[in-house]
Amino acid sequence: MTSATHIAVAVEALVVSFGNFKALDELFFTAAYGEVRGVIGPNGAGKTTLLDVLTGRSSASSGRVTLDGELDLTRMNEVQLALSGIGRKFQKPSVFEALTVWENLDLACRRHRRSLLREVFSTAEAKDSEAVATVLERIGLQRHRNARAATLSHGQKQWLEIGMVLAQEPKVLLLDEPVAGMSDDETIETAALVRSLRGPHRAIVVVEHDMEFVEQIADSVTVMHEGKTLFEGSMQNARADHRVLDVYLGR
Amino acid sequence: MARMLKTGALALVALVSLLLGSSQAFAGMDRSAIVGLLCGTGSHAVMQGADEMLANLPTASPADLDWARAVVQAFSRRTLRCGGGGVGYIATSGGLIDAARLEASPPVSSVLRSPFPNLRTRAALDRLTAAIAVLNAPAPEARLAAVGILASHSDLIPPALAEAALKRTRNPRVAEALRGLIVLQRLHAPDIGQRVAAIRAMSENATSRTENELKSLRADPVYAANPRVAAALDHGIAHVRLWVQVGAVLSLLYNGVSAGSVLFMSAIGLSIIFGLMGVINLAQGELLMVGAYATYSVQQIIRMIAPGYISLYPVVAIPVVFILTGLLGILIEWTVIRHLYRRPLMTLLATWGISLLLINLVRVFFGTQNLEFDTPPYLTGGVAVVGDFFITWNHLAAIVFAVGAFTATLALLRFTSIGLFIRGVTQNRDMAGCIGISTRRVDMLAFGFGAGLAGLGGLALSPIYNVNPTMGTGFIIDSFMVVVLGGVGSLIGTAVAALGIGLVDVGIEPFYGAVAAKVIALLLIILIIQWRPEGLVAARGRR
Amino acid sequence: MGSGERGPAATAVLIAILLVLVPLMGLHLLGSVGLSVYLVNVVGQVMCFALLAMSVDLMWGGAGVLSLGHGLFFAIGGYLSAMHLLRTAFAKTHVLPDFLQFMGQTRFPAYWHLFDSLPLTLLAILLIPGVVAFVFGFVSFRSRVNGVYFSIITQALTYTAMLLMFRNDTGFGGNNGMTGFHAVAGLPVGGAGAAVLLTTLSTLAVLVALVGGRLLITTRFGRMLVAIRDDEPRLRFLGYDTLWLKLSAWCLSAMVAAVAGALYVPQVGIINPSLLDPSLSLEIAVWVAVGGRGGFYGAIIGAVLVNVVKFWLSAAAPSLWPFVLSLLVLLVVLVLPNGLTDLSNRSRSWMADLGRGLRDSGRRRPERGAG
Repeated sequence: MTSATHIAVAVEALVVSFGNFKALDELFFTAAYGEVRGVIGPNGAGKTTLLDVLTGRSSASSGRVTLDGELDLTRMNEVQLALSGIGRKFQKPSVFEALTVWENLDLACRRHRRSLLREVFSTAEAKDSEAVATVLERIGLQRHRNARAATLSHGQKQWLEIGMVLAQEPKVLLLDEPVAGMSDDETIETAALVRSLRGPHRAIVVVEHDMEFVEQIADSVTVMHEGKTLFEGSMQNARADHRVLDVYLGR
Repeated sequence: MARMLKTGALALVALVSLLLGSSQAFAGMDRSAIVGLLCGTGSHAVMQGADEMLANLPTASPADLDWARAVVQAFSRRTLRCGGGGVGYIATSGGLIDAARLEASPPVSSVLRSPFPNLRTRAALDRLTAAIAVLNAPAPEARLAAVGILASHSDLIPPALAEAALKRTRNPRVAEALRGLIVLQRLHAPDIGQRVAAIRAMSENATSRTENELKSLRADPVYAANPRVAAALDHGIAHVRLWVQVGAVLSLLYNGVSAGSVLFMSAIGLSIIFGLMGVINLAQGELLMVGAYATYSVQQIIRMIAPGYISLYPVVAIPVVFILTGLLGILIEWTVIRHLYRRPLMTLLATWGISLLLINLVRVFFGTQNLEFDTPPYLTGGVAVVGDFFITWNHLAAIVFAVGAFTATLALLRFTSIGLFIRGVTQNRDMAGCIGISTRRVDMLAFGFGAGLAGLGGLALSPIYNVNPTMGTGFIIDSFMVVVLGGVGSLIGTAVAALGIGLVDVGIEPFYGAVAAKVIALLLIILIIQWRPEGLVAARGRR
Repeated sequence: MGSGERGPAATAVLIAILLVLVPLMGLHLLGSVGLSVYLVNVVGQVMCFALLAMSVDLMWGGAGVLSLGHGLFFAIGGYLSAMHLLRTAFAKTHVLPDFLQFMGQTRFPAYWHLFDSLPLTLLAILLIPGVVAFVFGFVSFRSRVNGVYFSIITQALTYTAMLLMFRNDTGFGGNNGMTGFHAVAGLPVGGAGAAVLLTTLSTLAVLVALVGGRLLITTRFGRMLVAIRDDEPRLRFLGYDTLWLKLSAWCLSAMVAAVAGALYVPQVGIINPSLLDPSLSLEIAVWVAVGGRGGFYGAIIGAVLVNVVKFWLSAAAPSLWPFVLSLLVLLVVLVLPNGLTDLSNRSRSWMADLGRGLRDSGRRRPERGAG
C-alpha cells in the first residue's frame, strides 16, 4: 500500500446511523494521491453513504475523516468540504440545465480565495476561460460549448458533470456510478477519461456496480458489505477472495 | 290564563276566608297597613311596605301568600289603584276590587292614582315576587329561578325565608339551591359559629364567584374583630383559590386541546397530501368551509322532510359531509392537481384559484352572512368540574371527533392495503410505481380522503365557530404551521404539533391577545425549524 | 427560461413603450393630451404593480424561489412613505392624523420626526425592508427552507403582519390605516400635477428596474441564481455558499417591492393592512405566472394585463372579478405553464403550421382542408 504521507483522505471507524439502522458500521477506508480507488459492494453496502459523509450530505455519528492527515472533515458542511478540495459527481447527472456547457464549467471554476461578492459580480477572466477551455477539451464537449445543458444526451451530461467537478481542481475526486445508463461506447470513453485524470495531486474514488468497469480503471478496490470494509487490495485478489465471492454470489 | 289563575286565586281566598271566618284571624300580615304603605306617597313608603311584607313572608299562611302575590303582581303590572287615605284597589276586567280584602269593592267616586314602580321600588318588587315564588310557585323551575334572584340579594332577604322555603319543597335541586342560599345568608349571621360554618360550607364550592364572595367578606368589620372568622375566611379563600387555579389550568388545557383538535382536523388532510405528493393544498381551508356548509344543508333538508329528527342532523351529516367533500377533493385532484406533480409551486397558485372559486360560489349560493345552526340539546351546555372549569359538550364533541379521525386515519394507514400503498408512495414514489402500485389512484384516493377529513373538520367546527364563506382562509396558515412543526407526512407529528400550537395559542391569548399568540406561534415555529428542519417527528430513512 | 433569445427584443419593445409613456405624462402636464387624471393615476398604479411583479420575478423566475409574502415589503414601503406624507401634511396643517388622536396621543411619537426628511425616508424605504428580509431570509435559507415550505412561510409572515397591523395599539392606524395626505413634493395629492409626477416616477422606476434587472441576469450572479433554480445542492457541492447568494437576491427583491409600495401609496391616498392580505401576495405571483416567469418582461406584461382587466371589471362588474381571476389562474397553470410566453410560442408554431399549410395548398390540391 501507499505510504502514509501520500494518503489523501482517511476514514477511521466511521459510523453513520439512520434511526436504528447503521448504514456505516466502523468503516475504515483510505484513498491515496495518484491512485484510482474503486469502491464496490452489493446494494445497501453503504457506498453512497460513504460519499455522502465525505461531501457533507450526511453527518457522521462517530469516527474520524481526515484530509491530508490533518483536516477533520466531519465537522464541515458541503461548501467547506468543496472548498477544501473534495469534488463529487452524483449518480444522477446534476448539471444546470438552463445554462450552456461553457457557463456550467465557468461556474464550477470557483477561485477559492476570492470573496463571494467579487465572485458574484465578476465577468469571466482570461485565466478562467483558459481553465474552462482545458476542461472542455478533456471531456470532449468543445463542439457543444454553447449548447444548453438540457439539450445534451445522458452520457454527455455525465461527462459535463465530471468536467465541472474537474474544474474545481479537487484533491479528492469522487465519482458515483459514472457509467450508469451509458452505452458501451460511452462507457469505454468514460473509462479512458477517468484513467487520464489520474495525477500525483489527485485521488480518485469511483463507486460502481459494474465490476468490469472497475477492473479497467481502478488501481485497487475496496469491497464494502453491510457498512463495513470486507476487502481491500487489487481487483484480482478481490475476485479470488472467498468472502467477496460469498457476498456477491450468495451462499 | 292569567285571568283564570286570578279568578282561581280569588275563589281560593274567598273559600279560605269563609272557612276561617276572617283573614284577619291570622296574626301574620296586617294587610291594610301594607296596602296603605304601598299606596303611600314617595318611594320611601313603598319600600317600607315592601319590607314589611317581606319580613312577614316566612310565617305567612298560604292565603296571605296568595294575597301578597296578587298585590305585588298588581303593583308591577300597574293595575294597583290608590285612593285617598291609603285605600288600595286592584283594577280587573270585572271592575275594582279591594286590595286588602280582595273582595269586590263598592263603587269609588274619588280620583284614583296608579303608583308607578321606579328603579328602587322595581327591584324591591322583583325581590318580593321571587320571595313569594320560592314559597309557593308550583313549578320547581320557577322556584329555582327565584332562588337565583334571591341569592344575588342575600343580604336583603330575611334569614327565615330560605328555611321556610326549604320546609315547603321536596325537590332536591330546589332544596340544594336553598341550602346554598342559607349558607350565603349565614355569612352575615350575627352568630359567629354559624358564620364560620357558613364560610366552611361556602368554600366547598370552589368557583371564582365564591372567591369574590368570600373576599368581599374581608371588608366586614367582624373579619377584623374576630380571629376565628378571620382564620376561617383566610383558610376558605386559600382553599377556593387553589381549586379555582386548578380549574383554570384544566380549562386552559381543555380549551387548548379542543383548539388543537380543530387544527388537527384541518391539518391532517394537508399533511397526508403534502407527504404523498409534495403539494400544499391552499384550498384545504375552503374544504373545511364546504364541510360546514354541507352540514348546514343536511340540517335544512332534515328540517324540511323530518323536522322531528332535527336534533340528529350532526350524526346524519357525518357520512354525507365526508363523502361530499371527499368527492370534491377527488374532483380537484383529477382536474387540476394531477397535472402539476412536477411543479409544486404552481399547485400553490392553482389551489389558491380553487379556493377563490369555492369561496365565491358559496357566496353566490348561500350569501355572505354567518349561518344559523340549530345546536342540538346534547351539544349545548356542559358540566361543571372544578373551579370555573366547565366541560362544554360542543368542544368535547370536537375533541372526540378529532380523536376518532386520528384513530380512523391511523387504522387506515396501518391496516388497510390502501394505507400501505399511501405509505409506500410517500416513501418512494418511483419504487412504488415499479412494483405495480397505481400511484395515480393512490394519489386520487388519498386526496379525496384528506378532503373528506377536512370536511369533517368543518362539521366539527360548525357548533363552535362562525360559519361563513371566508371562514377557511385563516385555517390554511395555521394548518401549514402544524404540518411544518409536526414533520411532513407524519400522523403522530401532526397530532402532537396541533395540540402544541393549540395550547400555545390558548395559553398566550388571555395574556397578550390573539395576535400576539399568532406572532409567538410563528416565531416558535421558525425557531424550531432552525433546530429541526424536518419537523418534530421526521420521517425516517434517507432522503 | 424563454428569456434567453427573445429577451432582448421584448425588452427593447417594452423600453420603447415605457419611453413613450414618460413624455406623454409630460405633455399631459402641459395640457396637450387629454388623458384624464383618473387614467394617469391608473397607469401609475399599474406601473407600481409591474415593479412589484418584477421584484417577485427576480426570485421566482431567477432563483426558483416563490415568495407569497411580497405584500409585506410592498406594505412596509407604503407605510414608510405614508409616514413621510403625514409628517409633511402636519407641517402644513398642524392637525394630528385621526388615528393618533383616536389613540389619545397629543403629538407624534418621537421617531416619526425622522420622516420629516425625504432622504431619510428614502433610506428607510430601502433599509427597513432590507433588514426585515435579511433576518427572515437568513433564518429560512440557513435552515434550508425552500420550495413550497418557503412560499407558505412567507405567506404566514405576511398574514401575521396583517393581524399585527389590524390592531390599533401597533400604532400605525390599525384597521383604517393612514390617510389624509396633503401634498407630494408640494403638489396637492389627487391633483393632476401629483398624478403625473408619480406616474412618471413609477414608469421610470420600472424602466430602471428593467434595464438593471436585464443587466443583472447576464452577470455571473444572474447565472448563479439560475443555477440555484436548476440544482441548488449541486451549486453548493461546487463550493458556493448559496445562502448568501439567495439572501442578497432576496433582500434586493424586498427593496424593489418596497420602492413600488412607496410610490403606490401616495397615488391611492391611503394605506391600510389590506395590502398585507395573503391574497394580494398570491395575486402578484399570478401576474408573474400570467406574463411568464424569468427575464422580467413577462412580469411587467402580466401585471399590466391582469390589473387593467381588474380595473375595468371592478367598475363594470365587481362581483365577476374573483371568478375571472380564479379561472385565469387555473387556465395559466394548466394550459400555459409559462404564461403568455407559451402563447407566443404556440402562436408562432401555429403561424408556422398555417404558413406551411398555405404553401402546401398552393403546390398541390388538398383533398381535405389545410388545417
